[in-house]
Amino acid sequence: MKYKVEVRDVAKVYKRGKTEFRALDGISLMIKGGEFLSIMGPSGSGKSTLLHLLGALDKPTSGDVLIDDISLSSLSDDDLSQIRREKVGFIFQQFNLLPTLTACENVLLPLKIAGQNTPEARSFANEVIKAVGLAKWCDHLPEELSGGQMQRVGIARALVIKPALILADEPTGNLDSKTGEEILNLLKDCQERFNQTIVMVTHDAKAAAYGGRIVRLKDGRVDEEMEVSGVNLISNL
Amino acid sequence: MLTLFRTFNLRYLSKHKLRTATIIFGVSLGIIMVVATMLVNQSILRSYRSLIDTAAGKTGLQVMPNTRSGLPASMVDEVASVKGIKAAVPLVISDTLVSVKDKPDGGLLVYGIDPKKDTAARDYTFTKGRQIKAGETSSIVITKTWADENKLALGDRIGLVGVNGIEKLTIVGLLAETGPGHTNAGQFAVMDITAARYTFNRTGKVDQVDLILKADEKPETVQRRVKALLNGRAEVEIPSARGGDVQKSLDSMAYMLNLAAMLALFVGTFLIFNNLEISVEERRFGISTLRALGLGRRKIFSLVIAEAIMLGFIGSLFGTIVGAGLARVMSGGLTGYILTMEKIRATDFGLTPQILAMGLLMGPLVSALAAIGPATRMLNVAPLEALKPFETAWRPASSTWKLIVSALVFFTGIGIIIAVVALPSMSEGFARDPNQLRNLSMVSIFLSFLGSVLLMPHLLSSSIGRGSVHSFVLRTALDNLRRVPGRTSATVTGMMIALTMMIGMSALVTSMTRLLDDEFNKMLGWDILVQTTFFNGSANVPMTENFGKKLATVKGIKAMTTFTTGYLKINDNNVMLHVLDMNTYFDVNDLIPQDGKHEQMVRDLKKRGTIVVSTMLAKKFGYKKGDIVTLNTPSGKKPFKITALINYFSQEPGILIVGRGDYKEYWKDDAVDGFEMKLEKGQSIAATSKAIKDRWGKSHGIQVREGAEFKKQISGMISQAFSLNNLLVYIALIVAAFGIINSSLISILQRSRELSTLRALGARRRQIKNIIRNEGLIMGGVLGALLGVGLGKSLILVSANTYDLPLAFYVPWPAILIGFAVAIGFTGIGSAIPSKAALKREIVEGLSYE
Repeated sequence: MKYKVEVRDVAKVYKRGKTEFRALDGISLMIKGGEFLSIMGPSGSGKSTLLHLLGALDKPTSGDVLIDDISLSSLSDDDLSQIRREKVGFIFQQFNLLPTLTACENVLLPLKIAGQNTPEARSFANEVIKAVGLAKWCDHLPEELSGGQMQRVGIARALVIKPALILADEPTGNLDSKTGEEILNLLKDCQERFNQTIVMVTHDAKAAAYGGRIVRLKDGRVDEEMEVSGVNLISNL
Repeated sequence: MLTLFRTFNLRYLSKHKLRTATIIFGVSLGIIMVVATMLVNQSILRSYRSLIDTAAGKTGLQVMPNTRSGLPASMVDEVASVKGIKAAVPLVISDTLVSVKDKPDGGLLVYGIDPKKDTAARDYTFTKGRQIKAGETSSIVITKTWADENKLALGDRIGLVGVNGIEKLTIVGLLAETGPGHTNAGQFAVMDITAARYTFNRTGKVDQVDLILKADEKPETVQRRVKALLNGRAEVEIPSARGGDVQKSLDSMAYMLNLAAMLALFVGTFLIFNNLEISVEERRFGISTLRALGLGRRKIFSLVIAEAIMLGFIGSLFGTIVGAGLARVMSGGLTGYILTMEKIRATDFGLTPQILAMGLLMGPLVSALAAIGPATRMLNVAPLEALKPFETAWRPASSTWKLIVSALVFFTGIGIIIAVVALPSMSEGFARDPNQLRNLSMVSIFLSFLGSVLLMPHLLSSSIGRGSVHSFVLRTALDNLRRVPGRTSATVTGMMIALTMMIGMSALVTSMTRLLDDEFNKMLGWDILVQTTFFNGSANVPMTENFGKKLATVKGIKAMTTFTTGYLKINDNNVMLHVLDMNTYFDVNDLIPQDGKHEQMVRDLKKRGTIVVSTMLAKKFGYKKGDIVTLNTPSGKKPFKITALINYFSQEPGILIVGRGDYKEYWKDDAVDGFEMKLEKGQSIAATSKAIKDRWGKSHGIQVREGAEFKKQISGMISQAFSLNNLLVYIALIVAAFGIINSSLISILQRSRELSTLRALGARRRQIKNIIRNEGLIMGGVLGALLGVGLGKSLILVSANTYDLPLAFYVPWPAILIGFAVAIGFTGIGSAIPSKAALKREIVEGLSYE
């Protein structure tokens, strides 16, 4: 499935007391369906803010974000929830697993929230669980899992609703380099296997190189865009 | 340290005004109840002692009848002859009804004195007028206080309700507010003893003899001599030593108050604990920063405890002031019963140093204890760890020893309840006295409460199994409750206490009302009752048998019987005495023997020397049917045979019924307190009642009651007796709602990231709201209400056994339904604030929450 995300002249301003902080300052961006886009930039450059706007977690101060030609700024809170539920899968740096649920229960959570706990959905969930290598750890609570295993659960949870768009916020930030590599390979594999659009925020250039395109942000604006082949980029970096 | 306290603690408290106020409120709640209860007790005792002291004057000993029937006047000279006595001063005492300006005006304590002799006992000070003179039968002296209250002056006339109708007397003197003028808070009058005897049916009698002792005589020595002379015909006491009866009455009254105060303190402590936990949790970051900057554990601990002590002190101060005010309100309702027996009015509500110290220290102490948990938890967090974003870890198992201790406490409580309820023989041997049984029951209820609180975490972990609940909203709510079982159980307990009080009390009132209804239907057959007594007031003016003969001439009366009530001293207990005319009683009413042998009982009761006792009294003194008991009468010790035990609802320690023939002979009293009439078939109750009222109402000051109205009044009295409890129930419910708000607030504070994750995964606002509401509902509505009903039922069983009454447990469905509705309503309100707070936070903010 081809998918398109469009960011039109988006600004995001945070107010803290009398102080204003401009996190994004008129960004425009087009993301093609099936693309693996990496967003890089120093701290405070607006990477995570952009990711939150793409995922309908937050609303821009000005400008618009369109997913599948649907303008997010015109949607109600319930409609935004529906977009998150059906079209977006999130992968967090802190994993954000529910500590009372087992690994598999965490994976099935989006289906339960959406009320889609059908046999077909569960069968696909099993497929995903196997694909991320979690079958053995299904009944374990998050605190019994390693960082890499927790992130696998996070990825499986993002994939289980078959979202067209996967947003990953520093997915390898809390992992050692070997595990990080495994996770990135898994993401890449999923993108190819399930033909999903992936937007990944990262500090790490090696991780960014897994994407087909890199957007570098600075002070809330697009500073640089690179369209390179992964292998060449890695060697250049 | 002080600077740190000012910048770190005080600034936080002033920023979070509502939370600070809630902690202070929690402390105050318990203190209010404790101080009010102590003050009411103290005030009644003080007033009683003041009554005795002011009325006793220079009296060294007092001779009093061991029942209400009075003493033969000849006893005055008899005791005057005892060695060591300088003078014997007779008194006729009546708590009568009075009419001012031809309108009924409540009760007045009247002393009939011998003006010549009385000066030996009391010094009267007058603001106006003079003392009555001997033989001056139409004059009266009142207090200035009462005169001012009723706008009366010298020369005005007031009417006293007497056995011969209303006697009009002229005011000749006004007593100053000192000495005897202080008696009964000024509701006091003095008249000539001869006039008092005529008015109150005391011909040839006195109600009390005050003995003035010779100098150098010890009261105890003379008391022994007088006692030996009287040999049970009357009691002789040292005025300053009196008060035991009032103390007993107070013990009974104070039971509910103490229970309520204990619960209020418990609920208050829980409120403090919850709020301190939330405030400490909120400052976790600040505290850990202080620790990272080098502040020691001990200082951190001291800061938290010092804050709790300060808030506790403010709460205590507030609670003590409000408690003192509440004591005045409470005393009005609570002393009604005591007034009827002891003729006192609680007035002095001054805080003694002990009560003040208790009130002011209890708050800081309780707060400091409640703060130990949260403060210790803070100490266990390493500086580095505390600076990291936190999530409450899942703790699946609780330790076995905790489970064992919790179960032990719970089952000990339940065990005692079972022992008291199901094994009467065991409890009888262990504690026959209702007071002991009641205390035991109180301990058992407290232990089961405590046990259920301790067990709750274990029950939650095991009963709410994983995977069994498919609804994501319900499952998430349940999981959170399991995650923090300690907090959950504290909240559940808050709601449980509120609902237990609500449902338990309702069941108790229902059971008692039904029991009374049942007794009334079986035993009381009268259509009309004629009395001069206020139904629930303090005055009691007897009538004569002659008046009964006049009443009997009213058309349409099929049968009429009399009753007289009083008290009898048995083993230092004031036992209610009912005097019934056994020749006519069964034509109008009935008695139901416990063993079902009705005919035999009626036959036996028509014989002289027989009595009936209530099962409660039998239990207290170990009486059985057929026992011969010796009663002290004004004619000396007399033997009576118990012909039956009856279920008869009354106040402690129970009642004893004696035949009118025996009463007249041994007690030398023919007074009648009430005439009960059965009308001919088809005769209108209302018309007959009106005819009696028209003919004698005004001249004799009589009250005419109809059966149906009487039953309604009794039910009303029971409900009224529990009205204070209703107030406490509402307080408890509000506190429980606060508990739910607090628990949910802490919970969303700790789960900020989690809730935001759910929102990021597409959960709607409504779903998040429902998760939080479900938590509240499970805590308050389901667990709280279920345990509340269970404990309510045990309260009924304990009460039934304590008083040996056939109290059946009626499931109070209306109260349960209302309880559930109220719990759900309060939970809804309680969880609305946290859920609003949860949704107010932006998803992004929650995800990055640190």
